[in-house]
Amino acid sequence: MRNKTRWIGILLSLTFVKCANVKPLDREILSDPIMQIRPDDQGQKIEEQNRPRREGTVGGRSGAGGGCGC
Amino acid sequence: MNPSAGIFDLKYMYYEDLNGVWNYTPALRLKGSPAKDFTLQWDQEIDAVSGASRRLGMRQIGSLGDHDLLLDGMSGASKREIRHSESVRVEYGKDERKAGGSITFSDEADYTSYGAAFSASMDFNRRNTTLSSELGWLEDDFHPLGAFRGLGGKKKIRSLSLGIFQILTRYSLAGVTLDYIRNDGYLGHPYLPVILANGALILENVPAIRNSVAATASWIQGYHFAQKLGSIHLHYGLYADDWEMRSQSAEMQWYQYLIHDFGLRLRMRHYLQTSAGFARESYLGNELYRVSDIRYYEFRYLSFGAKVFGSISNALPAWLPDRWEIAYDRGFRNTRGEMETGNPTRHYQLFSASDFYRDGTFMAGLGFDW
Repeated sequence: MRNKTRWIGILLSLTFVKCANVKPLDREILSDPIMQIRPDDQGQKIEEQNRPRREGTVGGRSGAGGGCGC
Repeated sequence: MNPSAGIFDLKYMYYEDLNGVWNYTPALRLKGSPAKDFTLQWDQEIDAVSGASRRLGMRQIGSLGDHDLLLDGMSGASKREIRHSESVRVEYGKDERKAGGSITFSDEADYTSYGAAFSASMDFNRRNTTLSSELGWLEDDFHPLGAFRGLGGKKKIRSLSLGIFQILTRYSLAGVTLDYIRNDGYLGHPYLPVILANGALILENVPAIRNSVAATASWIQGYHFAQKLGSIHLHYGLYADDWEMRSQSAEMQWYQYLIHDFGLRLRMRHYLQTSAGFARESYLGNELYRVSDIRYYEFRYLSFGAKVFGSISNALPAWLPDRWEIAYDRGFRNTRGEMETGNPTRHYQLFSASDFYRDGTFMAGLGFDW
């Protein structure tokens, strides 16, 4: 079990090392707004404020889920 | 799109659902760099919401007097409330490190909330990998009015969020975030009394502590089609808490530039949640915990949305906005209404029993860069 965990850790580390090969000068595409994790941060914040009115679970990308009487 | 020193964004959202609940939210965001390596951001929102007081056949429950007799059971807010919410954030970023703090405040007639959050992130692997963390704290005070005056209470929310994001290629990145949230205090609301098997009404009662964990995995894949950049966003979330509620959410977004900076976004989201352990279809009245709020029951929710967005030519006068967007989302839930059944409504789904719940959200935005 310990050997298996060690190998998983080594493989994950190699994956990150292999992936981390994009030089700063090659990141023009990644800097575009439609390539961001949250392309519309303000709009998503408003939507996530509305979500507790409809859904019973809070957390994840929606944050703490407090701040309103909804 | 050229980077700007600051932005001023205006957004307007309108929401309505089949229960007759509506919500208007104009919002603004001002963001700039007051000093080298510092960013200051101010968010302001105003909510006008129809609210959710159970009328119990009486008029004028709540502080506002009006003649609205419609039963409205989706949210726990008092009826026709105006809520304002402010948030200020300061962030310092230099080289591979960033740290920030924010304070938030919101207030409506029956609910006040204030809090703070602190965040930090670090890049390494030549900035191909980012580790982030955020600690949040909120103090809420629920003070119902009118017929429910004296009920309610205070609530504390503590949250911890950890994230890792990895650039994979020139066109893709992925990330995982983990959240822990603890709620303490008055976690329910009195506006949706439970209807017992004998037809009597009794107040809702939920546990005073709620521990939640959530994880979200994200993948963004860019590509070029006819020399136009497009991207696919995939997000998958899992949630669990000690109220025995579980949820899964899966969302896909597709962005595509069409002409210059004019683009289209389509998205679809599927959400599935289980019931809270104490949620039942019928109560005798001797149960410790009881709810009639549909949000604590099992359901699926599916939404579809489209957005068009673009930028406005710099050749036009400087006072005109630089960016614009219009979006609409439509959602459907697999829960039927409860009217026309001959039985008292149990979950306050105040529409026809032959219909399924649905809602719609419209959002428009204008952005100014300087």
